[in-house]
Amino acid sequence: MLPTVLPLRAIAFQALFLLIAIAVEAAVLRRTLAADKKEFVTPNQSIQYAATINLLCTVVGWLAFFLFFAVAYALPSAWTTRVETNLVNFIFFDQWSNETATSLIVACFIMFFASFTIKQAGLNALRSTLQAGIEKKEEKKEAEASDETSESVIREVSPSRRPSRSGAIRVLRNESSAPQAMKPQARAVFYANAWSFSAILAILMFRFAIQRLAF
Amino acid sequence: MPQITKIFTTAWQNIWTRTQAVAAGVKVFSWQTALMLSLLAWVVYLIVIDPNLKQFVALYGWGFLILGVDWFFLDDKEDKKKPTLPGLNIKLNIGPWITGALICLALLSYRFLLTDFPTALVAWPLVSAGVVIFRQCLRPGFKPTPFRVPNDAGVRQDLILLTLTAALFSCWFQFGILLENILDRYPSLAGDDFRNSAFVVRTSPATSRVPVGGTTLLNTAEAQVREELSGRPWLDVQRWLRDIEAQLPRLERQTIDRVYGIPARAEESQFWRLDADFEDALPNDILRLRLFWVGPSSQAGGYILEKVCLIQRAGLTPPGDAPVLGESYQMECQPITSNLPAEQPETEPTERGRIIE
Repeated sequence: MLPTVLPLRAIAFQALFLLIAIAVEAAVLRRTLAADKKEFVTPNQSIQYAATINLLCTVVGWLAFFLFFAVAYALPSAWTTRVETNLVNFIFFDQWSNETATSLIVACFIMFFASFTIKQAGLNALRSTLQAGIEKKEEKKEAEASDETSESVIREVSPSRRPSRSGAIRVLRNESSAPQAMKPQARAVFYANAWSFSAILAILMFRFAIQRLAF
Repeated sequence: MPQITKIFTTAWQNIWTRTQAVAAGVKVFSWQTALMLSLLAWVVYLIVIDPNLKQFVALYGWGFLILGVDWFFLDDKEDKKKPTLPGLNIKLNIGPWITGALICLALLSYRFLLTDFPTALVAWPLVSAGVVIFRQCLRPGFKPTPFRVPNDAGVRQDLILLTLTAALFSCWFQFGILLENILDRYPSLAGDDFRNSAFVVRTSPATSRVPVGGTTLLNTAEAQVREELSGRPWLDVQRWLRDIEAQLPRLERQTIDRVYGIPARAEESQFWRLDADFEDALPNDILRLRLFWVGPSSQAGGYILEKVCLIQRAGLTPPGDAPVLGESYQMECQPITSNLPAEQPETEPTERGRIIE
């Protein structure tokens, strides 16, 4: 009933790397976004954001991995067999051929940019999901408030006229929302990604060095 | 006699009042009712004979069981039903996990969506997350639209994190199953040494370092050689053995086909190479059968298994070693030796040679 092998070490390593990545990225996200006045993120939020995008990235990565095996088993070829052999050597025995090392370096480059894309898209999706109902409420409140001063009508009819103070902020926000508001977030995610990759790489190098020293 | 009757009636009255008390304590709209309905359904399931009806009743049984168990864990104001993680003082909310497991088992028993146990295991965390999402999105009371997206952004964030964590757990289960599949494809790996691995640990100690497939293959190769030599005169035997290099590709293919079947039972069959050399010597001719494992292994480059056979003309033996009757030769093979540092066979079969450099 019990399988011959359990991937317990893989799970331990992944949990460790995830914790490190979340911690590092939360800090980076918070600092980078705090430098930008418009984007305010509480520490709690930054941890939640980092956790969400890292988990998403990990899950997508696993899916890609399983997809490779599914394709390899459905359409076996000399190439898939060779890659599978290398992977098995790597997973079960920690044996690296030159080919494995080369393809791992290439894979890391691809992974870095793929994970940046996934994290950026994930964070956008997350923020819009979280704000979906709330913005409406705020707008409603604002609309109610401005109804009292009957300014909303003026603003909507002629936007060129000087709007109220809260309206000015909103107009600014709306103008910058489409192309430019993405920028600070993208930069933050890029730095966060770079830092967490570096941290994980440092740990892997550390493990490698310890192994070399031990033998 | 009347006393006995009296005792009996009082006993009966006692039981009756107690049952009544218990029954009165049960609220109609509660998890106890759901569980009892489930129990009732299972009793009916045992009574009913028609298989279609049985399935239908079992549906009720599962449905009320899932409902009742979920309700039981949900009906928990003071968090008494949540076990505490020792040392960390974290309450574990095990309710959704149990409900999820029950749903998976129910689906598995109907062979609906989940058809085998590994798939059910992979689905389990996701189903459990689904249970939590279902609870959070369910609207209280009876409304035309029973579901809504939670208003609170915090709840939404929690649900997203929960789903992703559950997906990660599913991925881990799937990875474990993938590893088992790999071991099914390459059974000879199971005996190898996984201590260096950064990914896996062994659950049971390895039985033997020598790959089982290898031992069988070498023994089969020996049998194959004996079959080939059978019935030949001694000179012909020697000629065949001297020319064994030419026979190798055929011998290898036949041996592998005999052990692994056609088509091969396990993909590892492509990782074996057979090599043989023959030496004219005195007092015995020597035939070395070598088997190379060129697949994944803890030793870079693989293994060699070797079997040395001593061959001489029949009749030249000292009495005691009985020759096989009717054969012109006699062959005596020594036990298999292994774990030599591996090299590639000199005569590499070309059609299989490109799998590993």
